[in-house]
Amino acid sequence: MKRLICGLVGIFLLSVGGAFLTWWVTGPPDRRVACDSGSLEAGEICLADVLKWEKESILWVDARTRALWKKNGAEGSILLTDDNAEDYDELEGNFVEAAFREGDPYQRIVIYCGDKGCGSSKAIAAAIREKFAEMMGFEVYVLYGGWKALAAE
Amino acid sequence: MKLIIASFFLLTALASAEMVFETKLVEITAKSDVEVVTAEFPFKIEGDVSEIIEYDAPCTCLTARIEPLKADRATKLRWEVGEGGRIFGKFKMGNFKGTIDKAIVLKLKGEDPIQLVVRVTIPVLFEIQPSTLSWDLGEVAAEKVFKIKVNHSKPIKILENSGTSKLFPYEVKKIKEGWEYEIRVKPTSTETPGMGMIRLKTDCEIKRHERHQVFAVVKRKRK
Repeated sequence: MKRLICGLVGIFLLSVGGAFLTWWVTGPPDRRVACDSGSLEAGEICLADVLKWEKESILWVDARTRALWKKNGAEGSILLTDDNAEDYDELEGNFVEAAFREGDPYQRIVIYCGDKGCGSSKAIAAAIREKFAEMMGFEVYVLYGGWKALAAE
Repeated sequence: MKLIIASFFLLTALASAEMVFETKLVEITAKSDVEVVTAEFPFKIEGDVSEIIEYDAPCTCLTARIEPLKADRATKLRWEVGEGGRIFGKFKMGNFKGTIDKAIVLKLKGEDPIQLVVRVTIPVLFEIQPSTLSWDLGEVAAEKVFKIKVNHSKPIKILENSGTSKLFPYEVKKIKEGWEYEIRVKPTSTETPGMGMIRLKTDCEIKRHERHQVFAVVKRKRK
């Protein structure tokens, strides 16, 4: 029994040592959301591609709840959510005003949700595309991985 | 040592458990006056026991429920092989119109998360085309038109209308009262950028179809 306990303690210490060594050599784990632009659904985009665009050409739209948007929404983002607690028409008005940018509309609208399981960003993107994209002349994208992808960057 | 080996095999068996669903997508076409719809996802357990760690819908509009409940009416999270149940998604429609996908996410011990999608189509009773009228800076300030069509079993009349910008004077024209309208907009000038909103209030008895808004913009032409 004593040998078994010693063995288990030895394995534990070796594992912990190995983990620390790996961290020291390779750095912290990569928490970025893996995204392959070739296998995305229509209208989705990888964060890596978004980051290649000029910052000024993008309006970030947060499709999560107001509380989450206030807590850690992307810098310069605007809230447009289908959360039943919100007045969608009012949010839509705010969005159009922001996207219009005093007569010089943003070129790209990128919408993010909590993570890739949330359907809100896709629903909002479809509504924006149908109602405003052509007339305002902007492209509408859904960020693959949602806020999780942004947070990991 | 036997205990360790037995634990190893138990963990391996848990990892191969599987919650099998008849379908992971339920499509519902809702009636225009319905406030709540419920989607049902029957499942059975194959492989070995399945344990739900978390079940959630990332939208306040959708709530998930697992049935049958335990004898004490608590939610049953541990399911034995051969057992079966149902996951219900209750979707509150609120402001929604058109077709919307909403998901319930199940996180299970030793398994990949499962996503159950409720696809709801809510008819558009008061259809406005387009939603935005646009003029480029310096373009001739010609009249443009929003066309409204009622797709309901009874008429929907416009009770009130209001505009937010003097740059976009407009006229609401009845083509067929309660069924067809036009909103004609002619900007006073296209020399400076501007944006306006026209709000409409109707007599539709269904709240989410009662109010509508459209937009008019004069914008710079993109280079």
